[in-house]
Amino acid sequence: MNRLIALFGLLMCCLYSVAQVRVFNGSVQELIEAKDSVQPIEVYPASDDPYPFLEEGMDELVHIFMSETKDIAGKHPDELEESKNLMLIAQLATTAWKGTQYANAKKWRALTKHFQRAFNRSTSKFNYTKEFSFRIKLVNNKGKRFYCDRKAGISSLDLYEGRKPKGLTKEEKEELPDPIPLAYFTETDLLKQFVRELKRNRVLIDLKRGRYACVGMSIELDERTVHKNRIPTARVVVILGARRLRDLRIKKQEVEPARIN
Amino acid sequence: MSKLILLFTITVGFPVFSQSDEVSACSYCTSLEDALVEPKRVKHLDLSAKGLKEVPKELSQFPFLESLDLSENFIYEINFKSLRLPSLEQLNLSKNPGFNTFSIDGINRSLPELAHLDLSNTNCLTVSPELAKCVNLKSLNLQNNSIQYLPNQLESLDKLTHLYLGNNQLKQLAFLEGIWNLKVLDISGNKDLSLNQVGVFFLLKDPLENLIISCDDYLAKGVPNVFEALQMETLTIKNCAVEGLNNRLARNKALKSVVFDEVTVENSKRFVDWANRMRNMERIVFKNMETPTLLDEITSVKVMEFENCTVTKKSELKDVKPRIQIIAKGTDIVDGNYIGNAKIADVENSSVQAYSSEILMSDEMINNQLSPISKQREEVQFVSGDAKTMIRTENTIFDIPSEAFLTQSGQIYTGEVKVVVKEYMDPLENALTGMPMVFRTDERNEVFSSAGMLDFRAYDDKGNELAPNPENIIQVEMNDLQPSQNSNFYTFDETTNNWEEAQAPVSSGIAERKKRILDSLNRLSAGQVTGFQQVPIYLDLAHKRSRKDPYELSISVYKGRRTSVRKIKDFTPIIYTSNADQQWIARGKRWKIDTMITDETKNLLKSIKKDTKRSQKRWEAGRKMNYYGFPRVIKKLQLSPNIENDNYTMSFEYRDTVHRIPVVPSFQGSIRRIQAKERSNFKVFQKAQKEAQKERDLVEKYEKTVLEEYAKVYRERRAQELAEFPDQEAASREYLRFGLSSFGLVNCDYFSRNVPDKYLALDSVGVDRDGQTIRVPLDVRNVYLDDNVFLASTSNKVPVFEKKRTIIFFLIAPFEIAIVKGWEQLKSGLFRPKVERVPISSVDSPSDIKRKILAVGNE
Repeated sequence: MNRLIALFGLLMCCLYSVAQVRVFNGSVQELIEAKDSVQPIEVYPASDDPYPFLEEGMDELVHIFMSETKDIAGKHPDELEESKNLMLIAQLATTAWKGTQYANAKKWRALTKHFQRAFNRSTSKFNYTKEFSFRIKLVNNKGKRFYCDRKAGISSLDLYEGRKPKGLTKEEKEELPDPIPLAYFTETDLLKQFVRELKRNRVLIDLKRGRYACVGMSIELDERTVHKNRIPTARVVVILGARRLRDLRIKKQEVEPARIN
Repeated sequence: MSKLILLFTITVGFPVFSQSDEVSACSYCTSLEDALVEPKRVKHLDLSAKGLKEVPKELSQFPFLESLDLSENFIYEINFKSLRLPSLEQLNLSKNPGFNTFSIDGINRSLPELAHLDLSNTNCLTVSPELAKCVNLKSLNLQNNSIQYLPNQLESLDKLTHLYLGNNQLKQLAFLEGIWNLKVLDISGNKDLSLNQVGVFFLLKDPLENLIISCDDYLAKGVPNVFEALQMETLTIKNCAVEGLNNRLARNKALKSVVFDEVTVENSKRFVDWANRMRNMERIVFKNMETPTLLDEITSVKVMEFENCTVTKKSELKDVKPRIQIIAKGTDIVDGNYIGNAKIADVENSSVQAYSSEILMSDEMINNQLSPISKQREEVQFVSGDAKTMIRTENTIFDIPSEAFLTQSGQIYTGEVKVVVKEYMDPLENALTGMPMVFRTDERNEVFSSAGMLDFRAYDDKGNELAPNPENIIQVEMNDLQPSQNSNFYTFDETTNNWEEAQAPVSSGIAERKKRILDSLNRLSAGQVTGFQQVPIYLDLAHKRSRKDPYELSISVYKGRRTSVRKIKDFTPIIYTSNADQQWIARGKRWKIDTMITDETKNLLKSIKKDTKRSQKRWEAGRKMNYYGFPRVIKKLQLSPNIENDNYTMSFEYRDTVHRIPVVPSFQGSIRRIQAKERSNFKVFQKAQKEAQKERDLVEKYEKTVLEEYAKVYRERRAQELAEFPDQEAASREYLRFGLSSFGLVNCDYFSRNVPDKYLALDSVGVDRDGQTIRVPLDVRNVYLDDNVFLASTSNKVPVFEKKRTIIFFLIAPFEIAIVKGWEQLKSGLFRPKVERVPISSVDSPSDIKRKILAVGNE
């Protein structure tokens, strides 16, 4: 019986996965533009203030990350630019694939071919893409225990330091000091997380050396981690585009088509 | 039993019924349409001068074709692989300028019985060794080309008996060593060929009967010793100037006949001395030349023959020794009288006698007033007088310029013109319509042998006859019925009932056309003129069908030259290049399609794969060794970086369409690794480009030096040929071209001056097939089919040409003709002719009656 249930579960997973691919491909077909357009990345310096993601959403964070990415690669003449199509694909990827795909590297690698095919639908100035995804923590628990208390009403996140007091009488409860709410990560901290992920995905050196030409990024808050006994996280999909023929310098006569066959 | 009888009836009856269709089908056909009526019956097909650029595909439908004439066309090459003519013995490809003699691969399988091959006047430089596989070849004509050497493989042609190599640039004849059955060999006009060097080959050739050479120093001062021992019967000396020949020839006892063709004799006395020393020589022949004087002093020969010669002193011939037989073909040997093709045998009393050249004919015939039995069908067309138009009838094309018609008052007529054309292209039809055929002069009556006759008349909208505008003359192109003869032009004067000689107006386009041909010839590159080809190595494109990665492509190189060409030896018509600038594509690289794969792309790749497999299979089944000629399914495969789109553009030609697909190399790994690989890849690309450039420079240099020399010779020859081409295009063999300076009857003829062999008198009564007697009228008409001529004569003196096909017919009732076919019937009937009745009706056209007449006897 257990086996049957397991098999059924696997089948459902597969169907779910196929459905996700279809959703992604269908959206790409409709939305992607035949000719990619690029635009310069705006400078958006990160501050030391906490980043209240519940109020501000994720757009600002995207700008901060993009700005940082440009800073890393900015020393090189082949400056990093924002690609509209890459942004779109990243956005579709974050909405289409939910669940465990982001955590599992193997599963993620299997998805990259769909990115590539989506990308083949348009023409752009680069032809190599590197896609990776990760999660970032949005709230700082400083490595300590925390708990969720929706009734306390002090923090909008409902997350507080320490253990949740249990088995207290009414009086004891009244005597208790106010719980210390968990603080948002500051923008700088979030940036550090981002850079660490870049390093982990082995793109930092290439980025520094100016090997990448375009970038697209999407950040989506994982709603399942908010107001629960979890640290709120965001799913980040980064797609970097690079020019394969970056180092080629062609004189005019060399481009002339070759002769007969 | 009844079934057996039925079967027998069908078997026996079938051929009888089937014969009734034979009228329309032909065995000797001059057009493809006629031949296709009953292809299995066709034995000879003449497609010469049809302006063909390639061989018609329908040829394979003639399984019993024995001879095929494709001369005077523009055929560049023949795909013998798709041609199958198992019975073909004779193939004429002469005068196809620039015919690629290397394109005869598979000729041995396609034409297994080929015995006679004519490749003269094709400007070829050599022939393919493939020719050696035609084991049944008996005669090979390679005259008037630019051949410098011939492949040694030709020595395997064991059955070759006639080899014509005149007017080439041959330097050696090594391949002759192996040909043992040669009977006739023409090596004249090869200036670099020394008789002394090649003589030894002839010595070994016992069966050699006729050797055709041109003079060199050896022949005048001292022929090689081998000439004394040669067992040949005839020596032909062609196209040179001689004083006298070497006495050593006199020692050759086998030599019976010496022919002088287009030879200028510079010293007649020395020549006669030499001739008298030739004790064994029985026959001396002069061809196409001015004869030397002092012919009466020649005593050694038995026969003196003149063919198309100009006799310098005709009076000398009267003094020729009586035992010498004089034969004159196309030569005027008698003072005052013309005797064409006359054979004068047994000259009596040292004088030349000639038959009377007058042919007896009826008075009506002489006066050009023969009554027609049937009227020729006329073709009516309406054209605009102020526009350029072209009218096409069965045998003629009229190129009518604008403002070509004048009214009776001499003004240009621009309205609608009614054009009435009648053609007289057949002797039998001419006889039926009673066409005037006699040209009367003060001295004699000449009969026309028509090369084509037409009646052109034009009328305005009120029915008044129009005249030609001399400033805008109508150009006519008419099929030449007697192409071997030069025609003169005559117009018929209806008031005197006689023909008048007219100067044929020169076609206005000739000079311009000549200039255009020369210009186009000069514009062609040396490579194009000499047919030079560069064949690169073969690249094959394969599509990997994989579910995982349907985007992957692979390109492979087939066997062939991989190293670049470093040197080109002498003249080579084909160079197999290394294709250096593109073969780097296939060096262990896989490529990926860098765009969405549509159904179209899928189908394209699938189709390429299928075609490649099919062609390779066929090729490998045929020949296993030579990969140079691998069939190229995709052509001009190119791959060049496209920096803008960060990929490569692959383009190739498939089924005459150019396809372009963006691709990238299928490299794996990080961007650092990929960019490094792309860099090194690009270096290989650049290196290959440099190598290819070197190769191109080499070929270019070769084209400028060696090929240019060849091309120069070719161009000079062609220019010379063009310059020598007569301005009067009426002399053109295939068509008569002339301007129509007057309307009405126009005749393009020469005179039929053949003297009848004898005269016969028909009995006044003939017998038909049923044994009934028929009265033979006094007036009969004789049609000589070979000469396209007819004569109306009296039945008691019918001129007879024994070796010519003839039909005699006469009217026995208003709607009935009686015909006598062939002289045999006359002989067997002891002058009482056996006749066949042919009923006709008033609505029958001459061609209908002709068909009925020709059908008689075939039933």
